Amino acid sequence: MITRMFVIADNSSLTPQTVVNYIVSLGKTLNIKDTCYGIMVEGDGDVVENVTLKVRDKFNGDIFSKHRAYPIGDERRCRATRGGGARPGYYFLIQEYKMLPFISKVLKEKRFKKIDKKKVKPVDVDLLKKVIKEKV
Amino acid sequence: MKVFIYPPNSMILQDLVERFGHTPLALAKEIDRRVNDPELDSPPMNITEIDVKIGLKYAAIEVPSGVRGRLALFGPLIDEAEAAIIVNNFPSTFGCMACARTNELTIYLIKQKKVPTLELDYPKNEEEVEDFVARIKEFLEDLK
Repeated sequence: MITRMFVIADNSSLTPQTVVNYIVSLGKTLNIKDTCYGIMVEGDGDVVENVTLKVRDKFNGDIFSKHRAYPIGDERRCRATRGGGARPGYYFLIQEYKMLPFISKVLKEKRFKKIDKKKVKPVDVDLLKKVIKEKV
Repeated sequence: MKVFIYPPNSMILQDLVERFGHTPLALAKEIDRRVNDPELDSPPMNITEIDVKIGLKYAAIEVPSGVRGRLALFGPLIDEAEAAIIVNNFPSTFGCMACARTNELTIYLIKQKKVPTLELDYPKNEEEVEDFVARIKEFLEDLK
């Protein structure tokens, strides 16, 4: 039994319900929960991995996925039973969520362009010696 | 190929590694094994004294038990790694990666393993994201 999170990029017109409908149409035995950022899917390892491949093929760069350790609605993580507040692990999701529209755009438009980063040269030793002599 | 990702809880890295045809070694795999174990000795993460002993394989006895406990999670993933992607300078709120000593030791262990490694900086704008994805894609495609 494994759980997977599917997070929808902010710039996409895709809704969690559309993804749920698509997964239901695949006719697999799964436990699905929709959330504010996407959906969570729980089921047998092979089935979940297979569904992940299909979802990725269908929605390409609009949806991102990761393996989640805790089951859906686990009392140790679920906010409903922990008295509110962000669940542990939510902070990372917020950070990555901000970057998803850019990554989604790159993947959809296939713009894989590298930038030549200039290496910062260390200060010349002679120059450093001269400055030390003058200032100290 | 099995690719260790750092930070090991990153969804973006995990997704990109899978997208480009490899198996990510992410933290969820190790935590999953512990938290879904019928014998829950130490909730919520179920890190027991056995894990701290496992951590001894990766860090000396003088190292704080917290670091060893964390390394008990990261270590088995590093052992399995055939390649690695390291992202440096990520924001401090980026997941539960706030233990600086563990992070240093993790990177040290990866480098000691001498597997193909890609080191990147956390992107800050759209242009850097393009570069970030392009470098990861090139690295993963070259691994095949």
